[in-house]
Amino acid sequence: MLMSNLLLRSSWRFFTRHPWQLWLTLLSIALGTAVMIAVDLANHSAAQSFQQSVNTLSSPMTHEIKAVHGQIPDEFYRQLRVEWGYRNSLPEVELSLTLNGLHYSLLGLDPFATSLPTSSLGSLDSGVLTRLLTEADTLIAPKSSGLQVGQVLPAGERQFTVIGLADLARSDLLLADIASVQGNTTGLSRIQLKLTEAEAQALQARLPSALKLESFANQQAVFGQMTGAFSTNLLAMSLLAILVGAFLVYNTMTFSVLQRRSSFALARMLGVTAGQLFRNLLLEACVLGLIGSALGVLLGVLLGQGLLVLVTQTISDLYVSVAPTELLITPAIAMKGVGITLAAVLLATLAPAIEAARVAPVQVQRRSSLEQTNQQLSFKLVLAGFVLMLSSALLISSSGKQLVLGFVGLFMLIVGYSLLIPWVLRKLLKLLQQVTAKFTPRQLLSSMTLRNLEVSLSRTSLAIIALTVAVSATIGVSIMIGSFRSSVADWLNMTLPSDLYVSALSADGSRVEGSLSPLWLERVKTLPELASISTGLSTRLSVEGMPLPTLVLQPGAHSQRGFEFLQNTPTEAWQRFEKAEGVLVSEPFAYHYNRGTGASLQLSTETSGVLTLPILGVFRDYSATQGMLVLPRGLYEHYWQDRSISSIGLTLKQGTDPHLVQQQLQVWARDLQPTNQSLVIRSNTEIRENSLKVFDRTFAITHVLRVLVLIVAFVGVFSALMALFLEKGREFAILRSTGFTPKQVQTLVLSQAALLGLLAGLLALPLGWLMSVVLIDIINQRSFGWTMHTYFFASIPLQAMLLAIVAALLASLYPVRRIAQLSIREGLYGR
Amino acid sequence: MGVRLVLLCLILCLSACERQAEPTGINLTSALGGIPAEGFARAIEPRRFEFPQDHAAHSEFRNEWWYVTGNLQAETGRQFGYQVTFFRIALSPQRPENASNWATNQVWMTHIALTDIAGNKHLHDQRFARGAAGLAGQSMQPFKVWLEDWQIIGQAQGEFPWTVQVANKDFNLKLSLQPEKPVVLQGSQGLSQKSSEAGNASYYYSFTRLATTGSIHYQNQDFQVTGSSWLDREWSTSVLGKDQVGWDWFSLQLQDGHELMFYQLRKASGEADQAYSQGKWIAPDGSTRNLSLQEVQLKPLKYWQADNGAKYPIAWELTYPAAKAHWRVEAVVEDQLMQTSVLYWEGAVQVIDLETAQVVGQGYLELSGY
Repeated sequence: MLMSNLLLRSSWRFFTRHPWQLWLTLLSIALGTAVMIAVDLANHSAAQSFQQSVNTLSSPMTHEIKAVHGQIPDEFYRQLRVEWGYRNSLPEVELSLTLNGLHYSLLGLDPFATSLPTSSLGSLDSGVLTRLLTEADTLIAPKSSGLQVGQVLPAGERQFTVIGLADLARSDLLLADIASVQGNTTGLSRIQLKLTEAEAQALQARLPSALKLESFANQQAVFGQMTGAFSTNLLAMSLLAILVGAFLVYNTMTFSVLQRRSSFALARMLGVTAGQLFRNLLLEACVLGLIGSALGVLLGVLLGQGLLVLVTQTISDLYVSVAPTELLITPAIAMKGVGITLAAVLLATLAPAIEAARVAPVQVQRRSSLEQTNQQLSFKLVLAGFVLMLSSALLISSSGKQLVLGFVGLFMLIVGYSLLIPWVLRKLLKLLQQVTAKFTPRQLLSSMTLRNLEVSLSRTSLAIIALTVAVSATIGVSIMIGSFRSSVADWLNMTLPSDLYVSALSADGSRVEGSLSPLWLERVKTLPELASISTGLSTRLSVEGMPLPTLVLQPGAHSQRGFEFLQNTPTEAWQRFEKAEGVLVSEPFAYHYNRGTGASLQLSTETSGVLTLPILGVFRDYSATQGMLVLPRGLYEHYWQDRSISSIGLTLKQGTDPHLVQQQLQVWARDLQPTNQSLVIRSNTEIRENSLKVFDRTFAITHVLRVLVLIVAFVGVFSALMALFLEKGREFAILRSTGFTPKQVQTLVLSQAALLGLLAGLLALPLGWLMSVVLIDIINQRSFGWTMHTYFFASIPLQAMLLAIVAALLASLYPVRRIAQLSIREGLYGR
Repeated sequence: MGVRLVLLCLILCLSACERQAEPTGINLTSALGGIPAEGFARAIEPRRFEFPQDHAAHSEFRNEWWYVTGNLQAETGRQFGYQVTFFRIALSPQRPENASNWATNQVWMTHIALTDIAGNKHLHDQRFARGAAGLAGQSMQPFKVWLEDWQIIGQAQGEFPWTVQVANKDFNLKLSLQPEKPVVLQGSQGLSQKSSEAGNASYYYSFTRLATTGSIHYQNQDFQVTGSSWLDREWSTSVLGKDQVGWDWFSLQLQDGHELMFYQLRKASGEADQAYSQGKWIAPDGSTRNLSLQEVQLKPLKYWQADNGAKYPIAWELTYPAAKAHWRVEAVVEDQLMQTSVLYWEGAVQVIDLETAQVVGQGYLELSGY
């Protein structure tokens, strides 16, 4: 008891005497935890937000009915409710509005249909409902939207006025009476229902084929499936931050053991057992881990707020519209973050703790013996590193489509590579010494720099590893994103063969899923500038029992250019497609369903049950991660009654100015399209630019995470260098007293730091390249099912090197300033 | 039966803090409030009633209802009370200018209740719907008042017999109503003045004795029932004065062939409104006589306390010396509280002669503002 008190006090004294070391350790732990918590939170809240968007007004609702295309007839609702008796039903008409660039969803509902949950509406002022029902074009806005009573929102030809504010779960959701939103149109966007499983089955059986019943639970599951890969990717990035953080903790703890060797030896002489020392160090780590991760949780919540915006943006762009909501930190998320951090910290402390326990009482050590053990150790580490890297390769090649195992492989690769670093560093420094000795034999400073660095490897190698890992992640991710972006740009160039597109948007304005007035086609055909025309219908068809995004295509003369076939001879596939002999599938579909050219798939039709169709070709596509199907219009019209189209592609004659035609189309749009159907007329250039904008938005979060990992590494390098240089106070004082100017000592420190950065940068290059290969060929395909070309960008390794050096130099700035202020006397006496 | 106008006024005007019966829903009562009387027709002078045309809706007035109550007896001897009421509420004088199928200024509310005397149970339910998209309304050919699948159906123009048909998870009613007496125009030739201001009145007629046959499905049993019902029809735009807060309303059918309708309006001070409390005595031959508070005395005998603490007088001593009436009017089930968006007590009662201790009649009692 007494002894452990003594040890605790000694720990306390040590850390209070080295506050910088303490704070930086805590900071790196906190940052690691924070990144993980933030990512976890953002993922979690995005899923929550989806759930809310599904049932903002229908928390007790379980299902919804939608039309396969277009609207549900008003009369069907009456039948459903009055004749069939489904009274837990809520009819909705949705319209999208834009004000000052902000997108709103205007939901028209029947306030009498069901008791709307108070939580979603809050208290409405007396009479508001009356006004909603009796005054045309009035709506209620959420308090959180910032909209004011009396404000006017334009919707096509109409102007909606805000007459009340309520506490709504989403800030972009506006509410109105169903009649107001419907206006001159008819039909419902959806009917929400509360059903038991048995009721749902009974309803399904009597539902007309033009309508479909979906359960929210199922939508939630599909959402989980769709975004699962994305979340896993983010999680992996956040674990990388923890990994880098763990290296730093290991570094700090090793360093502190090193610094306290004499006091440990003293403690042993006083009768402290090896076990007590060991436990004491683990306890220290535990306390550091707990404090650090607690700080990390707080920081993570702040960080998560920012990440959430990015995450929801990405999910909205890639999968389905979700709005950022309030961040919900649950005890589970906090515990998970703290737990993982603590485990990493303890694991990282294990080796130094064993080391400390081994200190023999008589062994009042100098560092030299440790450097020797380190050298022996580094050879063992090399072996372990090779074994890890080899197992990583084996794991990756044998794990099929398993995304998580792909990441495990990636992490093994990183750790394995890290284990090689101390040995490689030693060899590199030896080599550098020989080279400098040969070419600049009289340069005292340069050889001192190298020797000093080599001698202090036991404390610096871990900082170098951390920096290497962080920088290599930057390289790997940059190459991956760069390649991805270039592939997407190539694909966009190819996939938009028409000059102009007229597209009807879904109610939320995010997708081309609406329906164009049939008059469009006739009108467009009268254009003298028209060379060829194609039509598309974006829908979802049931393929192998799952809803799959489908493009029903009536190809024009130019349409073939829109497909890059991956597995077979393009002409043959196209000719057969034009003859409506089968379907084309996207690469992600082929990957997820294991179906290539020549295979077949099962498609549920409206009029003839399940149809088996051959796959004529597999084409490159980055638009739908769950895969998509292209069905010839001829086949569709044969098996479905629907004749609507959602987009028209126009190829213009040579020498025509697409802008003039676009203006003409915009004029037509005013009378051809009903007001509640949003429409866009875009040139292929606009779509391309827009798509790349979306792409960049999608990867904004990756960039942010990359920077966060770098910050963690930077803190580590900073703390390692600080500790190193501060400890060397005495050595610097000796140098000064032997005639070195402060400037020379500073140069010595700066060049050491620069060298350290350079080495980390160099070592990061191969690892970064390896990571990019794994990310592009393994992780991306397993996450999204698509492949891409690898593009090499010379700027990336250069930037990475620069980054590493700058980080190391920045980290040494403070010690360098201290050196200038250091008095020789104080330094010599070790103050 | 002006008292029910008060009921509607409560529905339209009560604030959110009033007795809220829908803890999970938005407060429709409050959210629907604040409809100004301007622009609606008013009941200012007596009008000519035409039947069956006047069974149809009078949409130019703000409020209107078809109010059916009755006492029934099954072949097995089991006794039931029931209430089916369709309320029409106009939110504005004109229909909004909107082509949508859903556009309307009319909202419908229906209350239904079944009192199981033997089981000492009172089951009730309410629904709201807009008067559009086929969900609720009043139409002809055949005459029909409906809210979803709850309905009263008459002959083409509204001639009797009428069929009342409602069902919920607890019970089904399917009853046929046939008048045994001519229509009674309440108040003064059907104009029922409720407070001093001109226009604070309703048009009000009743069928005070309707022979009723049909079936009740309740507790997995089918009961063939017969009995007697009472229909009140009333439409208005404004009724109550500011100081009137509640009422005690009686509709009694005596075994000797008489009926008594009487309501006592209560002021904020707790005393009865001497000027506007009134009633009607209907003879077996259908001839009627107006009653005032000077002719009919009411004295509460017994109270029942609701969960919210309110005490309802569910047994009364009613004295009408001119008809030698000295009765005890008491609830057959104590708790017949309608826990709907407006809280009120409406239930089956029996009439006991205080001299002979014999049951001499049955009816319905409505208590509000407690």
